Formats: sequence, C-alpha cells, structure tokens
Amino acid sequence: MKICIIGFGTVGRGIVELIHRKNIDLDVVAICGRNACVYDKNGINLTHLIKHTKDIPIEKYSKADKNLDTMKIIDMKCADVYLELTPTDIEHAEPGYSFIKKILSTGSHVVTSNKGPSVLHYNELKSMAEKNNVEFLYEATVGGSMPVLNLARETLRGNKIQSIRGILNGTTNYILTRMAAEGAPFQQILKEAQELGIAEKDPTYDVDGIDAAAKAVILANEFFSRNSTMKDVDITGITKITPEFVSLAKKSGFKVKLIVEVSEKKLKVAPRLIKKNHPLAVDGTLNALNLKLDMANEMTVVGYGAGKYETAAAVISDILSIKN
Amino acid sequence: MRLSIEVMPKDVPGELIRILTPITDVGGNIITVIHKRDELSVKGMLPVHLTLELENKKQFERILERYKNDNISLLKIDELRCFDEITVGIIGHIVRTDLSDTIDSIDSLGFCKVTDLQIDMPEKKMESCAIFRIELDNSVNDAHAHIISRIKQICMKKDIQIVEVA
Repeated sequence: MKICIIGFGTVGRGIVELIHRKNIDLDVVAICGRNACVYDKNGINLTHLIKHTKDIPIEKYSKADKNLDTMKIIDMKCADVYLELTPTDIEHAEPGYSFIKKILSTGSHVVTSNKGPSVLHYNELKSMAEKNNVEFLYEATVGGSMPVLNLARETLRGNKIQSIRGILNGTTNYILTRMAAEGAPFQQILKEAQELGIAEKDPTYDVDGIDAAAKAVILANEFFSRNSTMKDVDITGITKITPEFVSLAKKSGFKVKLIVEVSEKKLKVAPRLIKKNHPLAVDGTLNALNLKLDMANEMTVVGYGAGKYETAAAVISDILSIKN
Repeated sequence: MRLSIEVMPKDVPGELIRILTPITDVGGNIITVIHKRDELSVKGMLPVHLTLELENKKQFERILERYKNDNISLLKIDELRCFDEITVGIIGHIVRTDLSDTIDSIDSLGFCKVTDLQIDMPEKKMESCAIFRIELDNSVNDAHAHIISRIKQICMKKDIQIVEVA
C-alpha cells in the first residue's frame, strides 16, 4: 500500500521511524512539507531519509523538490492513503481541510491526526468520504494511542454509547498531577512542562480546555450525531485551579482533573473532583475514558493521549485497518 | 443514601450480630448503633437504633427480606428519611464575598444543609478555596440538581468558580 505523508513534524517523523523500525509493509512514496516535497514512486528510502533529516526540516533534505507542493502531489494520485498531519488550527482548519477535501474528491483514503477538519467540517467530510467510497479515519485526533473511536466502532459494535467522560488532555493532567504532588503553583508547573516539551509554547489550547473541547466535539458528532461545534461546548479550563484547592481536595479523598463529558444532552469540559480510587483518576500525562454502554454496561480505557510514537501508532492502526 | 431505622431484637447475646449481618452482607455501611436501654420491654426486647449508609433502596429491600426471614422485628417507622451527601468545591474570593451568605443561600433551599466546610485562605489578596459537604434529602425530586443550580447562581453572582464531583 502506498502512502503519502503531509506534514513532516513530530508525528510524521514518528510514523516514518515506526514503519522503518518495524518493517511494516507500507511504501512511503511522498512526504510533503510547506515549501517542497519528496517523491519517489517506488518508495522513499527511509534509511537515508531518517539519517539525513534528523535535525532539519524536510525542505532542506537533499531529495526534496521545490517544484512540488502538496496540491500537486494530491493531483498526481500517487498514494492509496494520504496522511494529513499538519498542525491543528481550530479556527479555520487550514490547510488541512483543503487538503482533505481534495484528497477525498480524487478518490483516495485519508487518515489524520489533525483535529481542525473533524471539528469544523465533520459532516461534510464524512459525506464526501462516503460519496467517494473511501475512508476518512481520525483515531489519532482523540486520545492518541488510547483506542476510542475504533474501540467503539469495531469491538463494541452493537452497543449504544449512553455517555462518555474522562481525561483527554495529557498536558493538563500532568500539570494537575504535579500540583497535587508538590503543592506548586500552576504557573510554575506550566513553565516546567513547557521546558520538558509536555506543554506548547502557547499553552492556551491545553490549559483553557480548548483541545479537550475539540475532542469532545468529535466524540459528540461521531457517537451521538449531534452536529456539534465548539460553540456548543461548555468550557472551563484549569488556569484558576490553585495548589491550595488541589491540596484541600486531596485531604477530602479527591483528585482534581480536567474532565470531558459527552452525551445526548451534555457537552462539557471542566475541572472536576474525582475520587482518588476512581478508574478515571489517572496521573501524569495519561488519558482515560469511561464509556457507559447499553449492553456491555461500562468500560474504562487508559493510555497515552500524545507523544511522537503514541500518536503515530494510532495513525498506523488506521492505515492498517484500511489495508486489511 | 443514609437512613435510620429501629429494630427490636431480644436483649440476649448474639442478637446484635443477627441484626448487623444482613446489613454488611448486602454491602451496607453501619454508621451508628444505639441501644435504647431505657426502653427495654417487659418481654426482654430492646430497641436498637441504627444509622446505615446504603447505595440504593434495593439494598434496603434485601435487608428487610432478611429480617423477615430471620424473625427480626422492624419497628414501625413513621417517616423513612434518606439522606445523600454531595461534595462541591469553590475557588475565588469566597470570604470577601460573604461566605456565611453563601452557606445560608444553600441551606435556605430547605432540603439540604452544609454539614462540613474545609477552607484554605492563603495570603490576604489571593483567592481562597473551600470544599463543602452538603447533606440532602433524597426524597426531594432532583435535589442534587437544584443544589448545584443554586450554587452555580451564587458563584456566578460572586465571580467564584465551582468545581463539582464528576
């Protein structure tokens, strides 16, 4: 199966390394950066690529062609599956949205880790995929390597999901965990998280609950056909949580976590008190999701929601499910 | 839910265990046991007042079934009151915005009361925080939702953040 990678950042590199390391039977025929692309119809030499792009953007790779751009690569229809891995833009979903629309219209499959298009154009893109008889998969957009969408679609087939709630942002979970453990203030822990690469330079998406809300919208549209947008989510971030409050909560037998809640009637992201022995009370950068089901009663999944290889694993899982 | 009942066992060794076992067997929690020794009957029966914590009414029905099978008399109770408890956190200038008013506003609903309050006030200009335990009468429809709605109203008015239990 031939794949094209659009966006050679952390996740793109993770995918290439995993395909190479595990000798997964996938041919990477194209990699697209902002201003240049690498293309080889017989498959790019991943050993050479990995060795020579360690610390440089794909545009500076010796085999990058500045005459090629993403739209031209899509027009060439050179891949069976296109991986849209450009950064999430929750306001306009670009350039991911334009890329995905073009790919689907040319009759190729799309796998993405980019939340923007799924949040802002869910129904449109799902309809396009269906109309063109191709797959539009986005497991990596919710919970990273923690199985959520595929779990519900495949393994829990036949079950009606009644509600979903849990932790879907590793950055805020890390911050709240450390506040509880050390009693340190929010700003201090945030600064350290940024230095460790756990929080972005602009952490607003995470700490204001926007990232978690985007995932809530995807879940709401996927499992409750709600046609929701970001405006429908009741969002409260963690910036007002104080170390004194986290400490009080601890003394009362609770942890403080940023919890997403999705159901037919509820769409909310807010810091909540969770009993310390509750299955959702996971620490560090872990994500956890509890599903209430009409047949299987209840289920909780726990895993790493972000990370180079964790997110890459989710993308590869989607590719392989198309292949099979 | 929390409830109080009175049973009438004989005042002989082993009777107390007979009363308490059905409760623990269903997974209930025994909060208090009071022997009402001043009410010892002429037949040697001694009323025992129990406060229990159960997850639901079904557990209570199972206890009653066991009492019936074991010939344990349940005294006639005029009113069966079930209490539940919720925990809520708040963060903000909660003292400056009149904490006693906040508590009174919750209590004034009539079917609940603030039974425990833990508060942390760092330095004067910094925001404080508190965790309330509120006991509510389970027999009132949507009691939980009404209380949370009242607290949210108060918090919005006083620019305080509410943190509910998930």
